[in-house]
Amino acid sequence: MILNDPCHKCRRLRQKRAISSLSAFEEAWLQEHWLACPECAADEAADLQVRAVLRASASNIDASHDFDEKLLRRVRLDRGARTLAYWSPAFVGAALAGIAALALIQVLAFRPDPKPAVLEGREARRVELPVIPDSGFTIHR
Amino acid sequence: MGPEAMASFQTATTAAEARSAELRLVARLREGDEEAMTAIIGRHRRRIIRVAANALRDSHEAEDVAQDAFIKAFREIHRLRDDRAFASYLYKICVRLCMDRLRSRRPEPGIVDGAEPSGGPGVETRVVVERLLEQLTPCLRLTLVLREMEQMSYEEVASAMNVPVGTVRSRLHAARERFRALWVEATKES
Ligand SMILES: [Zn+2]
Repeated sequence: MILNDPCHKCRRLRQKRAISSLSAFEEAWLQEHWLACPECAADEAADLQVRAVLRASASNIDASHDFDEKLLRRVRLDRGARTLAYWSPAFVGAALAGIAALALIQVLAFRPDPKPAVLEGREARRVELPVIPDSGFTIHR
Repeated sequence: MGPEAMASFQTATTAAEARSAELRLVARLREGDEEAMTAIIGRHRRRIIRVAANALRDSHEAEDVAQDAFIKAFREIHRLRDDRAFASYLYKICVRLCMDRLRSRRPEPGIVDGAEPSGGPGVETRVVVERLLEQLTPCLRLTLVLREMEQMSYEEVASAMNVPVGTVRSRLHAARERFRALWVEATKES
């Protein structure tokens, strides 16, 4: 029966250990089982070996010599860009307000005289145009 | 006081001093102090690059991500509520950026990085490990890298990946199983 199979219990405990933790009694049971069962012991050893391979393959690189310099340059650029982004609406607003003020000054300074111009003694007159002599050409339409 | 007790007292004192020095630096960082920035970069540079290099398996991309992580951490320092948590805040940003890079990568055979040092296991083993890591999903891969390569505790992995500890444990279990199956397959082939 599978429930009484010690190898099945071993797998179940190893799974439990992976996602939570084992009691001291369960740990001791596993150790004892591995002493008696070469298959389960080999399975556990393979697990440990894979983890050791991963650990040993960890990168141990260090930064390139100009890492800090490049980073600080980028930090300064980033701060500059953010300062500009922060203040640019204010600059645009100020510029628009300036243009509006100038336009208002222009309008007020060159406003036409509100009094209507008095055209004394001047009125439209019919003017006699000089008569152009016939040139002999006829324009055909 | 015996020599061992003396040594552990000295280690504790040094750790406490390092923590308070970091707190002072973070406070100055909030004011935009460039000297504090340089000091903070010096403190965390190596580990941040290593985390990114292990996750991405590409030293150039790792440096890019490390730089982006520092810039984002400095820019968004106002989001950090507790100055004592600066390191975990920085690693969280780095892990998030690595995750974004991994997700944007098209599935392809592992990148073989010739710039890796040749100490430890043979180059062939490293290449196999890189190729197998490429076959894990970004979540499983990062969990495995942070726990097995970076030797972080479950709590540290959970904080860096912004997930509960239970999720870390179950992802780690799945990642180990998958990696082991791939490893067995790969070593059988050779
Ligand atoms: Zn067994």
